[in-house]
Amino acid sequence: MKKGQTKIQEMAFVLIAIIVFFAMVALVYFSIRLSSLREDVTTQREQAARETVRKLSDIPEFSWAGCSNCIDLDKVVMLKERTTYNNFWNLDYLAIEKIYPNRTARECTPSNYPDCTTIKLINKTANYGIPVSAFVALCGFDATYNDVKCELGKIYASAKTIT
Amino acid sequence: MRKIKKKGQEEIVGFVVIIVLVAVVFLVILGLYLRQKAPATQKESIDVKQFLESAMEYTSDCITGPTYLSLGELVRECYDNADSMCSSEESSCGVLNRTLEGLIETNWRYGPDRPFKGYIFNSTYSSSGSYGEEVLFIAKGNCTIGRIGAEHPIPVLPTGSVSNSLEICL
Repeated sequence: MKKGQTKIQEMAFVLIAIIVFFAMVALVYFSIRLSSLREDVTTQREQAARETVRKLSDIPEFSWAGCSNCIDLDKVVMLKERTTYNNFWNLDYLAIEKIYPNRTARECTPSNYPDCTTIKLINKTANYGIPVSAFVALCGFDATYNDVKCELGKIYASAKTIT
Repeated sequence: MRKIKKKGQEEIVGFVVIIVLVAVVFLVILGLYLRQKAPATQKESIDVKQFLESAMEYTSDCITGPTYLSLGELVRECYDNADSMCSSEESSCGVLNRTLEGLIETNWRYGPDRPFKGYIFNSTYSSSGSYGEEVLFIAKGNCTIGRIGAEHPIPVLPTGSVSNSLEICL
């Protein structure tokens, strides 16, 4: 093999090595970008779902006058007893839970209300998945305060349209 | 002899160029990797925002007038008159501090073995004339790596507002 041919061969090898090197770098770069993009999409979807669930607190059946994102708990307890509302919302699961102050967990009924924590309004199927939750203020008349009292709670909802 | 030396120099220059190229590419990758990790230092969280909004509506056990004060009203009260007392003989700022700690620590349980390492709550009054007057500051746990947080402003008459920010440390 002539000296010139050897030089050309060397150069070809170096070029191939450089191309392979840059291809690997590009691969690493795009895999990092893609993973961060996926993460962003998941976060955006999660936030949108939380906002949707929170909007439920503003519907007239739940809303507390004079405060957005506040739920009238007295209304909700009454609503639970009304079977006509069972198919009113296109949801598989809808519940409201008191978070703070801490109490012993138990389902609300007209007899134990307000000394309870959870009001399950809809529970159509056992396989509703992980419900999306959002913080809300739960307001109602409190006998010990002899006044309106708002507590911290969460609204949980699950449906194919939410996730 | 001179020709061999020149060829050797060329080889060294080529080697140095390749090393520099590899170093630059490595630095770019490292930069990208670190930038991807960086947003964790402060990330806006809808969960924390909703928590703050709802917490400000929470009715505290402080009564100074005809009705019990909500946490938002208590922030205003604490700013307007830090020495004001509730009917229970506890200061309004003390009740605010205690209630907020209870609310935050029930929802964002923190500790070295938990997903959340601590939290920072900061209430600051600002208006067109002044800036950054601290109303309340609570910091608990270990806040070093990353944080998620949100801000919730409360208007204070006539022209100011109290900005309440909560940062949860990861």
